[in-house]
Amino acid sequence: MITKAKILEFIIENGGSTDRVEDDTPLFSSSLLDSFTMVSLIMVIESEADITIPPEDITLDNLDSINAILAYCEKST
Amino acid sequence: MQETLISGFIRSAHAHGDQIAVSAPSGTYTYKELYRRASAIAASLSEFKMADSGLVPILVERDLSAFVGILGILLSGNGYVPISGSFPPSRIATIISDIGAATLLTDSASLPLALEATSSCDSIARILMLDAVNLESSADNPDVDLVLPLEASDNWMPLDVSPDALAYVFYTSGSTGTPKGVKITHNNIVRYINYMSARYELTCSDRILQITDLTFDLSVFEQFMAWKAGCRLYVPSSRDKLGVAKFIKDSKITTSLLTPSMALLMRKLRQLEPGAFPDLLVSLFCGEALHCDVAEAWAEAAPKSIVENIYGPTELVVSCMIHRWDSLYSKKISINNVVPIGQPHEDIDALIIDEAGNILPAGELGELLISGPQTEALGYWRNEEKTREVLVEIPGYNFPCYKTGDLAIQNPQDGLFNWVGRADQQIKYMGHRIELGDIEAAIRRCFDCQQAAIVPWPIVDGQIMGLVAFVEADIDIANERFVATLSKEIPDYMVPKKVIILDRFPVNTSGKVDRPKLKSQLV
Repeated sequence: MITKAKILEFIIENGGSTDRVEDDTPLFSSSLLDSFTMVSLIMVIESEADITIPPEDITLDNLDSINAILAYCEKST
Repeated sequence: MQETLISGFIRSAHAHGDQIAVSAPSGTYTYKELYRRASAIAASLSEFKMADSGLVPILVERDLSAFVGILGILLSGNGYVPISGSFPPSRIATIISDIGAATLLTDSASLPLALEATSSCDSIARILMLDAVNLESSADNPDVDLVLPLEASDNWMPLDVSPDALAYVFYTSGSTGTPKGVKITHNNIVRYINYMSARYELTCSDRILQITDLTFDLSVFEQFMAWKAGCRLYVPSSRDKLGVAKFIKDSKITTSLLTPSMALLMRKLRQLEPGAFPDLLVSLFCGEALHCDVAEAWAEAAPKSIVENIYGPTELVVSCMIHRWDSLYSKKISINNVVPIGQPHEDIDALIIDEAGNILPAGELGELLISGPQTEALGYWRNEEKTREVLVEIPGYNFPCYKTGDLAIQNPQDGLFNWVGRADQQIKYMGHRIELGDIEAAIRRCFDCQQAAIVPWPIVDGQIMGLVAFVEADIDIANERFVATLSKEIPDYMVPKKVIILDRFPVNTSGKVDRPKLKSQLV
């Protein structure tokens, strides 16, 4: 199961800062995470949530914040 | 009247005034509307006493206002200097001061950054807004007047501008920590656009993607190829890099120019399915090494399209060499799985030299030099020393030879060139051209340290996926503080996301930092 703590841990490992990241902070559209870090994040989400994200679901609506990711994973499992 | 960068646009505006010139996130403009709005900017600029440089910086989001601003500057007879909103204020201030500009063009989204950056620029007298804004915002910087353009008026007739005048200056990363401005004349960019237009034969029914950041010169190709042909420019939101593949498909794009990183990202996001882009006819890649597997996946995704790898640093006017992808032959002659950069345009010479400056025969590895009509006017803004460093006269060549810093080898059988690597510390990361020395200088400015060295890491499938900083210092620097501090000095894409502190750097036999040894610590 994917958790908020796991996503935060990934963001910090990749140069983010806990001060800058709230549950609704845009991760990708704000350039906090670059494109290829986003690919790694998608792989982490898939592995932790045990899902496969189809290409059409790889959108900012589903992945651009911690809240969006958690909501998407809940819907997909 | 002499042909300038904007001539093609003006002809199209007269011939196809009611056609859409640009579709951007916030709406569309016909050629007539875009010309009318750009004319208002040109008229406003003509009211001001311009800086002697004839250059106007523009700090904008990639949206409708940006195109109005760029065309307005060109219509006014000045050259444009695009500045990225991803630059920290100090870097923006350095660029504006280097130009000595009195007027900055911006939009409301970029205004806070513009005000902060100009607070330390003596030359700036006013900020000209490209969209509506509360004029009281300038209270943040009382030395600068915030002005709105004149009412949109009749079509502004461009002044007769010398072909040797500057059309644009693009700032790139500099090895000593100060960005350098690459000067491009109207003559040079017009020759390039005419050459590429004849090659791809675009018509007014084509649909061109505008995906490149406006501070990269690939954006000059996108805009001015489209407007010369009278076709429509499609601009996706700059924030949604996850949705580019869908945008290409939904907008029925016929011509695209992408960095290989973007195609690789789409592939990793599983968006490069066979047949994904049925409308694409011309797919071009530029800006970094194109790997064969990415080119192949793209060719399958765009079955009706030609796929070409085009090569050229900003100094050589967008691009100067071309190779058309052929899945059998290109792969066969590739080196390190990288698609060849092919042959130079017909009026341009490419040659390979060794470290002593001797011309090498085909089959031998050396530095790639380019000589052509564009190298005559090649140079950096107010930096004659740097200009002299990169140009060399070689007997038998009519034009100066530009030292690209790229290592290449010419295939003895077919004469095609292959790119092999860099001769210096310049890298391409996520499509950005970065001098490692630029980052290292920023670290030395920000932290109490003896030395800094950047190692690109990790590297996956030949592609740089991140940057690690090694710092020789007696104190510890936490990762979070390191990233936050550097973000104020250099663009985010240049900030290493990991820092490793060492008491002492390993050195090689010549006493220089042993970079391979630093890298071995990461494996």
